[in-house]
Amino acid sequence: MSAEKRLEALRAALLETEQRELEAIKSDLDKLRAELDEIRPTPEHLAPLMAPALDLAQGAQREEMAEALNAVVAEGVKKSVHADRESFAEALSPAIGISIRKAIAGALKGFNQAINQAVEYSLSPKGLRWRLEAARTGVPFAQLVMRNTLPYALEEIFLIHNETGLLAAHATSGEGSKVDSDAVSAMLTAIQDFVRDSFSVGDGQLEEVEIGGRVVWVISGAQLSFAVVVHGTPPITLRQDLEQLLIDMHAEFNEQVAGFDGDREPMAPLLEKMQLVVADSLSQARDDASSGDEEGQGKKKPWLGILVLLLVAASLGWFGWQKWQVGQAFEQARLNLIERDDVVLLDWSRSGDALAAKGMFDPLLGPLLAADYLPAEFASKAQWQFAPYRSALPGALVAEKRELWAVPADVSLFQSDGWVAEGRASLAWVQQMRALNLGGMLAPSVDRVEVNPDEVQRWIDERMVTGVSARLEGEVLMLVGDVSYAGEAVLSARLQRWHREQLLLFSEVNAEALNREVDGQAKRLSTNIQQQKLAFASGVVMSPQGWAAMEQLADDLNEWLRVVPSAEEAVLVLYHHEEGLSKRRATKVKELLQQRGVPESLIRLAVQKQNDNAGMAVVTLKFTYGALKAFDIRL
Amino acid sequence: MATEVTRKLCLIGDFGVGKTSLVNRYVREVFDDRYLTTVGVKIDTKLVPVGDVTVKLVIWDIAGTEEANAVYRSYLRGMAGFLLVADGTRGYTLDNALKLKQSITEQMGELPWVGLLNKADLEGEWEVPADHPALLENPDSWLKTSACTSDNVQEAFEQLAASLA
Repeated sequence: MSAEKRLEALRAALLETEQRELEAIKSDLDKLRAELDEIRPTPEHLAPLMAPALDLAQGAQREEMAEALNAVVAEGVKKSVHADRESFAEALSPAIGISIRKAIAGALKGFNQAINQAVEYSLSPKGLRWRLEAARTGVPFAQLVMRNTLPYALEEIFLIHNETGLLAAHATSGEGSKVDSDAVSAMLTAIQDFVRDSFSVGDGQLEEVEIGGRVVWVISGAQLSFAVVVHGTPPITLRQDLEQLLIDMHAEFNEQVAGFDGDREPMAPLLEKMQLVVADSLSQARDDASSGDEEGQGKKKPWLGILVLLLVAASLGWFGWQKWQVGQAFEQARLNLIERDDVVLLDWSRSGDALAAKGMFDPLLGPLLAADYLPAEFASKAQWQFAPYRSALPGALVAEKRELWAVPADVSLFQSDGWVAEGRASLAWVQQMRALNLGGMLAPSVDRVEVNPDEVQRWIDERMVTGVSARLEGEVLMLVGDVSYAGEAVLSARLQRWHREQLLLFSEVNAEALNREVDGQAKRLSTNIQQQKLAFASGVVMSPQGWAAMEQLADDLNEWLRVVPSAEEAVLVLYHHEEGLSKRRATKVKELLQQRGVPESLIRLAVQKQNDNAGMAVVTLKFTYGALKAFDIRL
Repeated sequence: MATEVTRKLCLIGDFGVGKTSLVNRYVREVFDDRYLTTVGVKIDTKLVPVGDVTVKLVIWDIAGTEEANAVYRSYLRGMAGFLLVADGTRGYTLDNALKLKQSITEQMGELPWVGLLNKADLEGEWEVPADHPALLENPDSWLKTSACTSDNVQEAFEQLAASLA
């Protein structure tokens, strides 16, 4: 046995156990290799490893991973939106909601500002001035408003890094803050933080600060914010433009924005854009101002301006004069009103053309109508409230009596041992007052009241009987003309009534010039009546002749009543003896006459003296009528 | 390479440790000190050349506080480094400053910092022992300063600026 074999045998004897273990390990290893060859990586294997792997990615590795995932994530998002829009919208709503809310708030703010401007420029003196200027220069009003509201200066734009408050870029028109822009940027951020945290406004932020004629807008973006300093009144759209610029800058320069660490060099393109905005706003303001000036110069019409000024001055003068006149009219009305003793003025409030007047007045002293005191155009609009009351003024009593007695305007009324009327009045009124006095009622004395003589004459003429005329000479009534029997009676009765009732004041009647004319028919009837002989056969039975005479007598009496106007004053007296047949016969005649229509009032029975026809049962007729004694007028 | 970079740094420390005096001593005053009592912060800037780079320090002098409340934290947000200020004559202000530093580190991670033991001119009243553990742990990070005599003030800001460039 060679040494080598012996060594092998020794090794086998010494390492037998290890050898076996080694073989077993080899065998296991081969098995594992075989298994590994068969195993493919599955999602189950990879899933637990993804998150730690992403966390472990650093620096360039991370960027590579982001680039690798970019397309896949974009595609995935696209498919996810397509497949389930609602879930996607739900997931994004918190972020989008804030953006939408901000956008709507911004738009509403702009809208509000536009309304404020429109109202301000439409109604303010400034707006009216601009309208005049527009008319004078020919520049449209809207353009003029724009021009006058545009003079603003976008002085500075600070682009501030939200995280650090460091200034990323600073664009200025050259008229910016004198303070270090980095310090301003940081301080603005500090104030923003202070305000937000102090007032716990969450997502809210300080959006605008006004200092004197400047306004500082803070426009926040995702990583950068603008602090914009504007002098004057900027147009509504400027803020919107800047908001859009900030969004665009975030999108376009995402890499620079994300990587900002205080080094401003990479931010140069952003600064360039900001400078452009500042320069644009400057040139726009200048253009507007210069174009306005050029247009104004080109179309200037000085005479139109002067004319407008004159018109305005004339209008103002006219308005002032009108107002003054109105004021005077109202004041005069007030003075006239309080001049009336009975008027108690409680309120007199005037507002422009409208008047509210309140008080009291005594209606007895006259009506109180607004139209009597104010010009018609104001009277119709006035609140004229005057309550009636009874004043204790002397004039009020007179007024009351005047109203009571309907005293004519030309007659004055006063008290002098009773009420006395004086002046000129109609005869009718005077007669009424005399009638009241005669009737025992209180009425004024009308002795001092003159009546037009013509009216008196007319009154007499209208009431004078036919053929007679009368006229008053002093206290004597002169009668002239011809009068009939009937007329005499009427005239007599009438004159007595006039005198008794003081319808006409006369103390004497002169009838010397009056010719009495006998009325033929009246006289014939009178004669017939008196000549009738009423013969009785026996007792109260009439003879045929007597009956016929009685019939004729009745006819004549009825005829008398028909033809003679004053017939009622006539009397047929049937004279008889005191007792006996004579009285019975007279009574029978009266009865028969009454049966034939003769009124009882016309027939009277009378006792004849005993010595006349003594012992005879005779009835004697005697017909009398007033006219015969008419002119024995006893006044 | 940029010739100028801006960096935000904050001065952190208790009430009355001299933060504002240090800033005023170091920079041209931009804003009035009243800002400190109104919004709790005052900001100044200072250009510091560091090699071929100019670092513009935007210095946030934050009003002293015992705890980092929400406003305080918002002021610290985005800072590149900080000066931790304590009053050497009041030992407890160093402890408070260290607590603030710990709180900041927990929230914002490790940031460059320089510690200032201020009021070095008041040597007789000095309370902070030289073997304070914090000083021993980072001896190069601590400077004894005096806003009164300007000792180490510029050095402190420049040391921090160098680490921020």
